Amino acid sequence: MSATTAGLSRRTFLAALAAAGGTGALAGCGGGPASAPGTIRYWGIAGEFASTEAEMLAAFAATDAGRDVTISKSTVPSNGTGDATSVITAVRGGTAPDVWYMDRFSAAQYAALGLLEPIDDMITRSGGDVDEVRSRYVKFAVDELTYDGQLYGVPTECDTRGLYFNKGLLRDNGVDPDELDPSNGPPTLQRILEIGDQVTKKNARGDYTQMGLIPWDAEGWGITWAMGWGARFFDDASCSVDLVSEPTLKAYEFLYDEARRLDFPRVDAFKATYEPPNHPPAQTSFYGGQQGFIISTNTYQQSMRKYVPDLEFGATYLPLPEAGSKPYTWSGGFALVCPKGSSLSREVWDFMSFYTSVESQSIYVPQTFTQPTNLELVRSRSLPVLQQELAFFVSQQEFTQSRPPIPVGQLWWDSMSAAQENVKLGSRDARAALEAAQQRVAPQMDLYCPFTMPAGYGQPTAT
Amino acid sequence: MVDSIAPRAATAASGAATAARPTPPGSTAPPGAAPGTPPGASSGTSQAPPPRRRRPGGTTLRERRALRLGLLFISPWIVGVIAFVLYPLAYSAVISLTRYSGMTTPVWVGLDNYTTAFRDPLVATSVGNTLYYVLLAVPIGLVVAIVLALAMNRDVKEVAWYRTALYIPSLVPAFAMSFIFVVFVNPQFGVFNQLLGLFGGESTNLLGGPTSAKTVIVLMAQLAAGNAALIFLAGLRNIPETLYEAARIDGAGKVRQFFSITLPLLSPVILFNLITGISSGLQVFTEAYVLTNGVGGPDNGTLFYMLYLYKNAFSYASLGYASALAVLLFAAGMALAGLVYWLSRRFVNYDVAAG
Amino acid sequence: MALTTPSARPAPDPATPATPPSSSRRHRSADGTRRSWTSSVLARVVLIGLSLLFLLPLYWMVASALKSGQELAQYPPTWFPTELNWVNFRDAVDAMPFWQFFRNTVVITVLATAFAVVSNFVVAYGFACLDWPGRDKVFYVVLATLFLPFPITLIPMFDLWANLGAVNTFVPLVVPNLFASAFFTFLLRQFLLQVPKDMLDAARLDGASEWRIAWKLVFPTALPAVTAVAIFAAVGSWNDFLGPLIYLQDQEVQTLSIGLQAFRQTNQQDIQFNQLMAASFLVILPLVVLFFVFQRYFIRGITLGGFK
Repeated sequence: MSATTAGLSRRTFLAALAAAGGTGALAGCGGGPASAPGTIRYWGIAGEFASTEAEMLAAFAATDAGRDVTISKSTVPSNGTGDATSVITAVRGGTAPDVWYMDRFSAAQYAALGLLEPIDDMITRSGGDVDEVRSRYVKFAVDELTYDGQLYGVPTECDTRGLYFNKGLLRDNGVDPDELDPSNGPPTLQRILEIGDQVTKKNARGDYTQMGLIPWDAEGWGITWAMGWGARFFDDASCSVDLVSEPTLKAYEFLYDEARRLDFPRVDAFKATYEPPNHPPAQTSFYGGQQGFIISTNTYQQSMRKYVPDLEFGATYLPLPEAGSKPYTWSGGFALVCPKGSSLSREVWDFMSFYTSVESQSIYVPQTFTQPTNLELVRSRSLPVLQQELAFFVSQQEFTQSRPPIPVGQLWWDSMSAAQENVKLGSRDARAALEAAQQRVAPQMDLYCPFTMPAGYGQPTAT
Repeated sequence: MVDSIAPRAATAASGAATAARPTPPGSTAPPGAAPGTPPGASSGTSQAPPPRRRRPGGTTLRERRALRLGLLFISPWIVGVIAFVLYPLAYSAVISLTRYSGMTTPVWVGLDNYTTAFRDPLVATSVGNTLYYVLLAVPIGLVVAIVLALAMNRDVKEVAWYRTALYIPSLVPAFAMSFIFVVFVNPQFGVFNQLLGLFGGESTNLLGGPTSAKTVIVLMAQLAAGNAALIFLAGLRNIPETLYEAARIDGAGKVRQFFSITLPLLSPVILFNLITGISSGLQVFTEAYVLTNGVGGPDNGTLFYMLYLYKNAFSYASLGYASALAVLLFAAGMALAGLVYWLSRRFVNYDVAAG
Repeated sequence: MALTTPSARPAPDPATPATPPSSSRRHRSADGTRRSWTSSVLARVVLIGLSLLFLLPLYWMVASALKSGQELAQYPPTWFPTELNWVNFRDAVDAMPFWQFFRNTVVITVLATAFAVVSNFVVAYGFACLDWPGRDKVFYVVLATLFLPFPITLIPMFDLWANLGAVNTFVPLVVPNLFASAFFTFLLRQFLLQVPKDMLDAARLDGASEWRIAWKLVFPTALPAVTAVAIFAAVGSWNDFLGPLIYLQDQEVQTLSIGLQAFRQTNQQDIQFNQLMAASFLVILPLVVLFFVFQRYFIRGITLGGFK
């Protein structure tokens, strides 16, 4: 046995060596980013909507511009939110794709790091006009792709936060859901909390079995509420983040107080019961009929249709913290960008341009319940879904803003989320929590000064 | 038996890890092992090389030849350590003295990153979290793994099935496991909360508290104890059955056998699992990353050192700072490993026959 | 071990199986005959209980994989799927180029495992069975490298492989295994140190080369530990995500773990949970089978006399 084992292992070893030689030979032809002329290397959409994207790529291939272009698509999934490991390494190694589909929230940061190419020159070289291109899309989305006055990509779609409510649950607890119809204007926060208390129920052990509004749940981020109080997170004049401003403080104080009033550990137990972390998408307390309100985006409807088609829900504006304040919300979304090393060829621009065209977004929007970023489509609302399911959300585009496109975006986001955790758990009060965030982000921001936000950031898009 | 190992311990004094090995506790037990011992092999002295004499500033021809042979055998590792360890380490050590995003030219900042690290409250938090994890997970992990190994070692016909069952959680990718594991810590119907409920505990979200979330991650890590258990199993299989037979003849009970034979003879494997346990404990990352979606919540309760390091490198593009954190971790790990390794010389027994 | 194993002497002809079949059977029966009926039942109860506990996650994986999207929404979750949606498995396979990813994963895993076993065994032999000046100081360096944090190696290593033009090939995932790893070397060394010196010296006196002693004499005795190394290397390689993520960018060379990750990556929170679980199950299934087949190598490797 020993003899055969040893002999075998040596044979395996030799075979393996030969095989390694084979893979080594493979290295010669497989590696390197140099794509054949007319080929675009594209890192695109993975998962459920890969097939939707395939339709869009097919539509591009049918156009004059796309006829002779080959899109070599692969999906390089991210390791997690805000994790650019694969792109950072690829750019350094010179193997980055020509076009990359990415969460545009990080665009300013990646632009500042030198990870992305500005596309202004590519547009001009291809006979386009940068200002005209900018004016094709909703402003808040273009803002997110602007760094230091240059454009770094084109926005593919967007989402907008709104307040969803379970009509049946409200009705069962003596509230007429029609009151919350968006045609009645934005509800006040006070009223939503009142309704919430009416819906809330506990069992004999004191555990919540039904709740109204859990302010920090889902998209109810501290920064979402802060925007409601009118917060700006960056001050151009001093080139500094401003995270302890009055409106932000008020929002985080509100979260702190609600967490105490509702008894955070019990709320947390409620959520973890009906909607545990990493839960299947269908298993949420809102779908399950245990929660009256949830702040979420328009795409929420896509999964609601799939998992709880019978749920009777409505959606309205985010509640106004103070009577008389203006309606508010924010949007995020994705974009096509060019990592450093992209060929920036005319074909690349043709592809990006088509991908965000009316024709292409008309394929994408109805299947995904995202909103278009192409202004022509936003204005004409020439898709049934824009006049029905998404009608209210699209109307919010008039006043929606984006998160601040600053070069330390991810750090800002993580720090603001950490502050939110502090006040939720009560480990720090609002001021201490926000001051910690300020101390963490400000020194990093200093490294990128001078810097100013895109002109007119936060101003509404003319739709 | 005792006299058979003593000379060998002496010859190994040139620096082998086996030096200064005490008489293992089990050696008192089996006179019965002696009859099976071939006379020629029973004594290390007869065939052991004569004690070498080292001339100051020089080596004997024999030593040089031994050195050449040794280096030849470990040459793959030498190449590997240069390419995959020393090169990245030197790279990081240099980068740690700069501000560097990974793209633009590094900016020299001297020791700034190190002084920042000592002042950064999140470094303090993450060090605390990591130590908490190591102190809990390493000992628990050793015990669970030994129990699993004993189970995997039972002489029953269908043992292959049990081995496979106990090892399966180690085969599941961590992220898939994180999706599954949350079901077991559900406040209402999760296994753990059902147990707590029996003792009158109220429904709490174990993942909702900074401390309990860490504990949950320790528990989750135990599902993968099959890895360490396999190593223990291999160790158990290395223990000659004759030792147990002899012990039984001597009237030693199961418990006595375990502590006098099994544990001492597993000591090399325990040392291995201890050091690698500390190493992976200090670098705990994946479970927290997938369970908290890379956030390290709640309230930074699962922000482990490695997670914070990773986020600095790849989310905040502070490669210089991340490298400084890495150098510090490496230094701390090395010191700890050295300590354990040094202590182990007193307790680890490499001589199976001496049991 | 030679000292206490009568069956090891006299040295049999190398051509005959070195492990007398009787030896392992004797090993079993020695314990078996002594055990009373009740203790065997008790042992089985404990073993089955423990196994069920560790099988729970797998069960949950399969049960979730078979549920419909709507059933996944039910509260409390159902323990048994009300209807078995086998179609989820087909959908999971169809959602990615499953067989291509499967082939790539197999090639990488087989090569990586073979390389890891060979290189680590040779190096561990150098640290355990050979006596050379400075050996234990060098070994301390091996231990120290266990503590190298992986994130800092990502970028320099990627730069290295990219300069060699090896991105989008299997080379960066396979070739490093040729150069031993601290973990496996340490593991094997702990076992090889238990090989009695007398046995090695006897073989040396017979004039055998170290290479021959290593493979013919020591390798078979270390089979349990070598099996452990092979299993860890295979599982690690099979499930590796970060490596394929950064080195394998083109679909033709990607692996199953990349395909799995895609289920979590849509531009919304909506994860295809049942398909994800179905795919996860299909991905680990080969590992489970492999483990079941190879676990028998954990039998004691008594082949000490198999060398001449």
